[in-house]
Amino acid sequence: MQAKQPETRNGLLGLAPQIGRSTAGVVRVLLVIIYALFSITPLLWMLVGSFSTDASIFANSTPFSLKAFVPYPFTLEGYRLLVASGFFRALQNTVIVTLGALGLGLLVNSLAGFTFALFEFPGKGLLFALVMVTMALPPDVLAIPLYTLIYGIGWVGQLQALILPAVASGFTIFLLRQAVLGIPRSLIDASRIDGLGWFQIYWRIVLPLIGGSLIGGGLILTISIWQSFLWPLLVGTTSAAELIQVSLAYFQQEHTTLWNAIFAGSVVAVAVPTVLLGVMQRHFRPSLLTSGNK
Amino acid sequence: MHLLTQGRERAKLVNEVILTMRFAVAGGTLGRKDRFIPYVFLLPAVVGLLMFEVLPFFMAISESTTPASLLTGVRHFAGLAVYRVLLTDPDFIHSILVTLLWAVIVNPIQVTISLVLALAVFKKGIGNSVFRILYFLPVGSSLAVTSIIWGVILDPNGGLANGLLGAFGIHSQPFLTSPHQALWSIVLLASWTGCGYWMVFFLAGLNDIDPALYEAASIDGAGTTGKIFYVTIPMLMRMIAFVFVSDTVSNFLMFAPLEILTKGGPNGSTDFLVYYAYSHAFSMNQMAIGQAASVILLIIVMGFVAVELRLMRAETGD
Repeated sequence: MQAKQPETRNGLLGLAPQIGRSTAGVVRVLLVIIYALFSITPLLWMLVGSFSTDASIFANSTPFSLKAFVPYPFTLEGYRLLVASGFFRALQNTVIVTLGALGLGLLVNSLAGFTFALFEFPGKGLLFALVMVTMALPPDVLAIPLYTLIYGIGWVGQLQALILPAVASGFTIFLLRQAVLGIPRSLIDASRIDGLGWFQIYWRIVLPLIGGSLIGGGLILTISIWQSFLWPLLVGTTSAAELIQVSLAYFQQEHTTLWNAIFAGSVVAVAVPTVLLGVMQRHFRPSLLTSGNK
Repeated sequence: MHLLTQGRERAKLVNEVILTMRFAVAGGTLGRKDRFIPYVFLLPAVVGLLMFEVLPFFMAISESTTPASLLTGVRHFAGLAVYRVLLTDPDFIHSILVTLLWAVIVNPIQVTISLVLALAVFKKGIGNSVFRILYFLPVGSSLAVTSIIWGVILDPNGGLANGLLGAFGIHSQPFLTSPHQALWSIVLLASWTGCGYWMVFFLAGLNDIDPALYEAASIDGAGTTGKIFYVTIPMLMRMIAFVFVSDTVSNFLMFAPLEILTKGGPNGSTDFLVYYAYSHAFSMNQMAIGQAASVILLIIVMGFVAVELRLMRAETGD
């Protein structure tokens, strides 16, 4: 009998000790690698394909050849076709809409979260119930009903139809309220004694203290707007308001065979959220979405 | 003199603060001067929520009960007539059944895979952290982009999937073009981005489990499998429930792959409720039917959301 290995030692790869110890360990390692291939292959194929010619993408996939993962002959043709198609107009629109909704959203929702955390006032229960009811509702479920309203006020095809409905968010209000509740009350009272008005307290004392939650909430907001599809499909119907996901879908439907250009557009659309998530990884905490106060 | 007034003002303010606090403790209101502040601060958020989330719901109800006449275009109150038409439409019943089938297939698959992934790569170590990143990477890809990439991969003529199957000697498959495989193809591509996302929730849940519990289980003679079933799963139960409900809500609203790849077909095999509502409201010009279907969808989703909120409240103790 071998002495029990200490639990904390995991060897070089974290996987190594299991290898050879049991068939279960081998199965686990195989499973982990197979799923990693499943996860990464489409992204890799897309990236390589965006720098390849259509002919070589097609030739290397059936019958399959490992050359499918080498961008040879290397070409920027896909990206050139994309630029010519007006895709970058949509990219520009998407950046404007995302930044607009993000800036307004953080301001409006943090002010509301601040108020719910610090004040007692008649009607608070009712207004907070409104926040709770809307916080878990995914925006897409209201897309078709909301269309009637936006159509009625004549905003279809205009940028504000994409920005304004995304601003007030029950989820973000709740998240930021939880963050403000974590600030010691004595700090707020001391600021009052120092003669700061309530807006000053919000702006100068509270906002800097809830920076982590603002970044986390802002990250979730940014990615959800960047990736949205149904709502921009309904109201972003002019070239002045067409967003990137919709633009890409149209491009794919019009040019089903221009695979390298389709891949090039996909690379651009995927790059932004991926880089954001990579850089701000530690701010993407699931607790933001499950409870908001850890 | 100046100092004196400052001191006096300070005393006045302290008094006011104490008064305010006393009110707050007693559950009362703010000082007279500040009474309107909360409402001013809440105004933009509340107007936004009422206008873009509450009002549309009532507009959808009104629109679905007052359809416009096809001949004259005049609106008239018709009560629940539209809903009666909807519930007797075999396509709608079919759409509900297909959506249920989708939910019953996709949610258990995604929850199981993401839980297994989290368990497999949870332990610290360079290898595991590389795998965690690889699994999370597809989350950057939206459902629209995922549909586009997988549309090319699953292309029956020349896509990568058939190329790889061919390398193992398996015949070409029709994937999205077959009524028997289209739904499963969408399960595949939705899970590609979904599983990595939900895995992160399980990793966080695993992180919260007290290591002492595992030590206790070891002392009681539990092996690796025993620990998973007697410690990990019971301790993760609430997170599993949360992920299951949230995943169900988001999968109920699966739309991009249908619009981009299948158009609800072939033979209506992927005509989920959202797509039914969308295609009636916009392609078939039956806005009232589309709105009525949206109301029904909203009621179903609200039911799940209520469960979700209960789970969240249990966690915050709110």
